[in-house]
Amino acid sequence: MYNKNTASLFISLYVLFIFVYHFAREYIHRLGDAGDELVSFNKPTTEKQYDINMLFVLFLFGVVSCFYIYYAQQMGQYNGDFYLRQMVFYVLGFAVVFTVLHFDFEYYLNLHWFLYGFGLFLLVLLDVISPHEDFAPRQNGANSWFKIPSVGLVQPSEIMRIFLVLTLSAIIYRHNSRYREDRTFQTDVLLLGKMAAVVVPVIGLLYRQPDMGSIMLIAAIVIALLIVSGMTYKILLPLIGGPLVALLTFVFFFFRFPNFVDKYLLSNLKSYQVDRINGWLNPFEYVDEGYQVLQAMTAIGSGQLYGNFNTNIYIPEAHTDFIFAVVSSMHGFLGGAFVITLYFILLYQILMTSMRCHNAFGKYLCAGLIGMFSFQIFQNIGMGLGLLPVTGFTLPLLSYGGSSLVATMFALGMVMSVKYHSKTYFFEAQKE
Amino acid sequence: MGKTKTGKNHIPFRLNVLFFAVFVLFSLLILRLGYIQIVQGDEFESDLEESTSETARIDAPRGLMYDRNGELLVDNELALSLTYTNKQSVTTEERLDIARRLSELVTIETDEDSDLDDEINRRTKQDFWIATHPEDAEDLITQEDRDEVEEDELYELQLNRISDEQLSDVDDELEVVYIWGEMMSGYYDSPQRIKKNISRDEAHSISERLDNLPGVDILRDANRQYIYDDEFPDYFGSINSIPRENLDEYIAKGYARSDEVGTSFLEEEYEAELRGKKGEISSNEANNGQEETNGSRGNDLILSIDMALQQEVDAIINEEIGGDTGSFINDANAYVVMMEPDTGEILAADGYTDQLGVTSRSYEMGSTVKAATVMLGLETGAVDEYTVINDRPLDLPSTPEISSVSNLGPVNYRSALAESSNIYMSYVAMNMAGYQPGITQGWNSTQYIQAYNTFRYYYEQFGLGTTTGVDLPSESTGIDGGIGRPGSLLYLSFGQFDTYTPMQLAQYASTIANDGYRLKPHFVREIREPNPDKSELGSVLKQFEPDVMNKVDIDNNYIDMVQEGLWSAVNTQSGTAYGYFQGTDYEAAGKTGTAQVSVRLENSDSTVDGNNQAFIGYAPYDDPEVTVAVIVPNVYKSSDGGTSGIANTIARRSLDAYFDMKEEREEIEPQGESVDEEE
Repeated sequence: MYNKNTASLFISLYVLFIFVYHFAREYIHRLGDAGDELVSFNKPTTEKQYDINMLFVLFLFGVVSCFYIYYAQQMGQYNGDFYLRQMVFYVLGFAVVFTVLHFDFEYYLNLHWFLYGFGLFLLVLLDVISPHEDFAPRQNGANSWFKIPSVGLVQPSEIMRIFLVLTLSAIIYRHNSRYREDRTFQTDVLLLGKMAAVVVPVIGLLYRQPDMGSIMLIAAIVIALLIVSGMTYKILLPLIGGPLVALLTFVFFFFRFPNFVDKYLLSNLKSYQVDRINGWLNPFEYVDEGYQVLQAMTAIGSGQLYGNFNTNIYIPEAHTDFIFAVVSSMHGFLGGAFVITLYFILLYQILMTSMRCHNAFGKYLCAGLIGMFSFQIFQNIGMGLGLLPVTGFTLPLLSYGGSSLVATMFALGMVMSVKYHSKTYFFEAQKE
Repeated sequence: MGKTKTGKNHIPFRLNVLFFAVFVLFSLLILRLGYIQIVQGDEFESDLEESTSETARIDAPRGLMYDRNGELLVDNELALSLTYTNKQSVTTEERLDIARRLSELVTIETDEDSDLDDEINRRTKQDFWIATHPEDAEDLITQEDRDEVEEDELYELQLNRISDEQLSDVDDELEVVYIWGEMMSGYYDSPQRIKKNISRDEAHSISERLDNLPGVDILRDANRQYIYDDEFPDYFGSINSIPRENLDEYIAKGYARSDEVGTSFLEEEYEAELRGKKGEISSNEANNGQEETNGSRGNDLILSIDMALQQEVDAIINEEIGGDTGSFINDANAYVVMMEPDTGEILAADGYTDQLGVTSRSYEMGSTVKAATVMLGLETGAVDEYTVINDRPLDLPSTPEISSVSNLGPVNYRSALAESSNIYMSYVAMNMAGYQPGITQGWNSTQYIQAYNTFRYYYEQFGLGTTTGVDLPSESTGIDGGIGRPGSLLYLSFGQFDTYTPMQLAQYASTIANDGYRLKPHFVREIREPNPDKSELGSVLKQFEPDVMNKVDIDNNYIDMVQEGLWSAVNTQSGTAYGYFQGTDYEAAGKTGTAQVSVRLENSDSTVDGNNQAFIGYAPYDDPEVTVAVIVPNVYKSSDGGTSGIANTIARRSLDAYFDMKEEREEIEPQGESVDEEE
């Protein structure tokens, strides 16, 4: 066991090392080229480039993912070689990335209604046929999955959210091009109305499943896009601040005036929702409801600074939803912080793609995906840390699961396509 | 930012806002992660150690119980239990499948007089029906219900709407229903016993198929064997699964959810000692080997009970009561407690049908309490050594006429005890309350209330009407009649007002025998380390020394005087117990008691007058080594066909049995109580 422990620590340090080295090199390279920077950017270029940095980060994710899935399996929860299958999924994922990135993102401006319609069709289909033993079994109290023979369970909302980002970005893009010069409060309201028209049916269908997690995720996407769309703060602030303040007030009241909350708020909710709230805010007292959270927190907490390789704790869904608990239980704060940083870098890369893109549609697209990913990551890690209630989100790129990985890779492929196909012009580069 | 520019240039700025929000969220994650892992890490680490080592423990058997002579009373025998560990992720179908397959592998036995159908409650059947008939269950609720009722209440609706006819569908697989019900009744992730004590054949056929029965396992259990089930069945108590309401407490003490614990009497009281020390399998060692530390049996209890004497006493009670049940107004009953006055060790505690009544039932104990009354009368100065009372019927206003069994004429403290004068006691009470019959006009309320309190103050010092401190999880303290009418004070003085338990009576007798020192009665005298050879005792871990609870607040002279009175009751011709104690090899002291009670007939509203017969005594008089307390409640008056003196006879025969047995043992082992002193 001792050898295994050092070996794994070594591997992770090595991965960390490669990573630091890579960025340090690039930093040094940039410094060295500082004088040439204007030149290199001023060059009017149509030369197409793969986003090597992002590909490298994705590769790192692939390694880390297979590594921890392998160890999650050592906990003996399920049988099957998940890490091998995850490798296959990653290969498939990279294939998707390369396919998608060669597809010029501007075509989505023509295609998005079709894609949106397709996604909506899937959701409606799911709603109609479920619950159905063979094609749409009910899982964990929700009808969110199609069962496709020899493929497995597929969640249409995973792909729908990406189509939604496309559609919303396109709507904002068209709207802003049209009202570029005479943007007023009224036009902003109009934009809000258009976006709502697209989002509401999706939310309605998700509500029927029910899939609260996806609804919140869509809210995150909408908020991210609203911010970037240039909507006036007169609308933005109440729209975002209102729910935020309400949530914080609720949490404050929950702890400060529990009787009041019990009597007037919780009594109006369904009992499983009350259970979830209790399990979230009070996992130590509501042992059954907070069981998953408690197990995950115990696993994470016992990892301490450097991690503990011999931990043998039962973490539910260790290789999927709670993979982060495995990471930070085995490699402690270092491992957990490393993974969080890796995500941050990925998001930063998407942000830079968005910044450098000269097509507003591309910018919106990236911004929407930033909203989507960051919420998904924050939600998944946050629930393991007892910050947020448990919802069935996977941790993008790390959790085991083909459909989730392919959907994520599809989205990242679009980001790379934005980078690959955006043209750099002489005069615009100067502005930067 | 100029207004015209916003159309184009807002995006980088807004992107930065968005990214800043992302940055804040991620910082929150890292901070929280650091807080949990670095600040609270130690706590979680220790939580984890507790919870994981728990799963890898091997059950260890409980400690045994022996009697004071080293006779094995409670043994363990190895038993195999079929367990099922339920998990949240298992589907209903899988569980049903396992239940069906298990039903083919084991047979579920029931008590002789009930069949399986009675054992399974209706709710289990209903749950099972819904699990097996999902579609029919769906049909039970309409779309309307779905819209109106919340999801969890829907299930209740379904349950209620299952018709009896539908429910009878499951009757042809009752075994499956039973097994399924047991499988569902445990906690998640913790083994639940489905059937205890499975046969070897069953164990074999199951263990061959364990691979195909996920969650099923066979556990080594120790089955409790109560060897003297008939003679001393109840005070051993019982063991069972941890009661849900105390689960947290036990888990905090390191128990696993599947553990069995003592849930009543001695098993519960001495749980901490009896509990086995679990062996641990640690698989975390560097050499990748499994290290197994063997658990050990819990500590053994050496009871103070003398099982031979207990059996003898049980036989005596059965003989005396069993042939004479017609004397009893309702169910026949009788209780005997024998203890060592100078140690508080209980030698025998028995009841005719309900042994536990020794500490849970309470009765008016009649004249047996007079010894205490005389002592407190002397101590408070209500009477003195020279006081002579003329015993004749006492007729007080608004109080029934009080008299002794016959008019005794002049009595002093000694003859009042020997001949059991109610009038003498009444005078003690009246003097304390400042009431002189025929002279004082009425009762002074302050004084008589005070007298009530004084009586109980002294009685409690003997153990009457208060906890005796016996080593059981709970005991009754009897019924305190409160402050009654003034006349009732007189009845209190001769034991016909408050009620006391047989255990209290025994402690009271011992306190007198022990010159006023009240000792805590106890069933367990020693705790010993487990010895692998069950016929040998392990070394002593803890010896229960005599535990003096208090010394009664009464002058020693007065105690001596009362002891003389008790001696006279047994050994002088006019003594009430004289006839019962003739020809003994030992010199006893004692007090008879007869409380007049009116008892409600069972299944009827009418009441019948009857007597509670009681006796306390000790022997030998000079150096008491055993006290006895007997209560035979609710006997018909002799005029109505009841036998009188049953309690006295039982007491006599019990003391005889004690001394005979002592003599026999000394003949076998002339060196004395070698077994007891062995170290």
